[in-house]
Amino acid sequence: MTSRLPRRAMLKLSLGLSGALTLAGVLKYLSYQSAPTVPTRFTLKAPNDYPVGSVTVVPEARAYILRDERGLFALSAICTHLGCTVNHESDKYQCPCHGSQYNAAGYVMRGPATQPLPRLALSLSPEGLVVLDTTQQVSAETRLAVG
Amino acid sequence: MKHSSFFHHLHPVTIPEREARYRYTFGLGGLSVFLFIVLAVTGALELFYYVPSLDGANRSVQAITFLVPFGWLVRGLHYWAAQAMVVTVVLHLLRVVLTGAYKRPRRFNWLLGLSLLVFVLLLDFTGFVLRWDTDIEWALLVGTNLLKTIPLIGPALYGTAVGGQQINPDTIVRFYGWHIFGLALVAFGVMIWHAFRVRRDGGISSLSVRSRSSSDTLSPAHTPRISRNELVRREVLGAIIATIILLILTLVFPPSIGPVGDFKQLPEQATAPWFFRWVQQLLRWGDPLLMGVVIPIGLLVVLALVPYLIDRHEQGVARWFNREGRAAQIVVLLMVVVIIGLTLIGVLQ
Amino acid sequence: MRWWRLSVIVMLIGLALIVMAACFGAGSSTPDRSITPTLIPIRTDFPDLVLTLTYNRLDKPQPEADPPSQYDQGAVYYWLVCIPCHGDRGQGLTDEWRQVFGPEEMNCWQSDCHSAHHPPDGFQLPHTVPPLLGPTALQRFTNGAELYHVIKTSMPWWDRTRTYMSEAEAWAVTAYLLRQHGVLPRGVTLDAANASVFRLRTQSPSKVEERPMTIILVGLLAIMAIGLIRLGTRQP
Repeated sequence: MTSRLPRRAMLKLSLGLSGALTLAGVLKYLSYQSAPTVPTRFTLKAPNDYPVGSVTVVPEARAYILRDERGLFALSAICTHLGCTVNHESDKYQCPCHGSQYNAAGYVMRGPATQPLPRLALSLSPEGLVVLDTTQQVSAETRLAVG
Repeated sequence: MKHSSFFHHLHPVTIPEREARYRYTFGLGGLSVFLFIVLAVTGALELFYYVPSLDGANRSVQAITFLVPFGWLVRGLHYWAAQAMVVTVVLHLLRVVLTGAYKRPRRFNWLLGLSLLVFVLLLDFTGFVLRWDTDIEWALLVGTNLLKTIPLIGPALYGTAVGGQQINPDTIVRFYGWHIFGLALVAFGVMIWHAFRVRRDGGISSLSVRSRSSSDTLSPAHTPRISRNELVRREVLGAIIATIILLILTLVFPPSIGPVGDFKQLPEQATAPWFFRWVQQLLRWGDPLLMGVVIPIGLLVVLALVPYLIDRHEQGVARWFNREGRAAQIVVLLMVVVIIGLTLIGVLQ
Repeated sequence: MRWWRLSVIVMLIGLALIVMAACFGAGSSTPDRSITPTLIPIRTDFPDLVLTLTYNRLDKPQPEADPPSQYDQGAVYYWLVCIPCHGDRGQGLTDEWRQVFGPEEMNCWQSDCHSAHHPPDGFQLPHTVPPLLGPTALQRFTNGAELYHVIKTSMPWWDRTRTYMSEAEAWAVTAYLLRQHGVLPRGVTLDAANASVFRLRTQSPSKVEERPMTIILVGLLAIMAIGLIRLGTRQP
């Protein structure tokens, strides 16, 4: 009767467990993220500073504020293909990286992107200033009503 | 149990059983290699978070210690492996001296080993400085100012070490570069050379090897030897026990981190890191160039001359406290006692 | 000859351990503060701050005692001098806190106001200002005396002449922070005599919840070591 087999198995089991534990620990170690450093809420100007039909760029938020007859809405300027910032040209948005084009409402006209530019949430601060939240997306019909 | 792995093939097929015992070498050389690997791995992990800038150095070490998951463990292992390595390489040097393993044909390898000792001390020092808190301020100032006392090349050496005319924000980046590439990477190469020379010079210094003068050799055919697998088993066992000790040390004595050092208001007490306390004590007694540079380098030169001047015999290898090497043993033991004495005097002040 | 060499080795290792223990046992020296500050009212002629205080979170803290205690004075001093950088909740100079400043004030470094190219009467701000409150904040300070020493000798950040904050104000702010950390009881006045009693480092540099995994790892390694030892003794 040999006691080598269970001992060998126990050795291998301990080795495997230690290895798995260490690997899990190293992965957890590497997964640490310090506090987010990119702001996501932006307090902008008063609603009437955006005339009807205007397209105003907000560079630090990578977004555009637009206004139509129904009110204000915000378009994200981040190309849905691979994340470059699109430029506003006359009545369309052009991405400089791979040539995607969106129309004035943000829908894809051409080029490798397939998803439209998302609409971002707008609200009013207590003083009546427009507040943009880049983490919230809203539907295409949503408007911030300007009283 | 047959293994054909690369790791197994790094080892000789068999080694003499007498010298393979823990009691002969205490596995100190192998332990040092293992500790170096631990330092490389934990150091690489710390590299992902450490920021070598004035704002970032202390802050990132604090982040590793208090915020990153298991960051305290990685840092603690790195710290204790470093301190343990200083101890193991010194004890390894002692073992080599006391068993006459520096004698021909191993004299050049002795010099390689001495250079590794210097590398390890400088690595411990630069690593200590990188945490950039109030505790390192005196050590960095004094240590680098010692360089300036060297005639002719002093200021140039200082500029190379510090990256400027005085301690400045670039010094952190400079020490970071020294620590990782200037010292650790180069030491790695020298370590491989050192290990290669061990095998080239005939493996572990042993009685069963026929030396040039054949007065006290045993015939190789009759002395027992252990297999490569058995040698690897012993090494792995040593590594596992070393890891256990490092983990316990980290759990019980985690390394500290102080407030960020700005060199404007230095702490009242100046303490060198423990492995340089003996130099600090010397510096209390006299001229900095003599005490802080000439004497330590002089000691190094004496060590280097051991196999070339102090003990030129070829007999006496592989015997603890061999008769032929008495002069070298006395010189080196005396040196160790003096350094420990100086350290104790410095600590007890 | 064996006992001889063994005893020398053991002696040397023992000496090395003693030396190391002596070196590591010596902790950091606490500064000698022999001055006992008395409680004097802090001044009220603070410079006009740019912040427009429109949100509730920026309201002046109300005193809890009458006359205001050292803690109350510290809370007001913190509110007036410290929160631009350290945040109203001691969170540090987070992006969320900077947004409170409003669109014209929040870009501290991009607008060069506090970058390396700051105006002559300005100052350069580091990119991270540490949190003062919260689970990991201030953990590198052993006790209130250490915290007071650092605050008195390095804060406010912009005060290069080190004349802005008086000792009484520094004690008041330290008392405020210690109370917010829950280590200073109500009604206790902090000073040089008792500051070292109140310990901050409640957590040691090894997170409690991560210790069990480490100990399990030690156990597994011990099992492997024992297995390897037994494996060796079986060989002929």
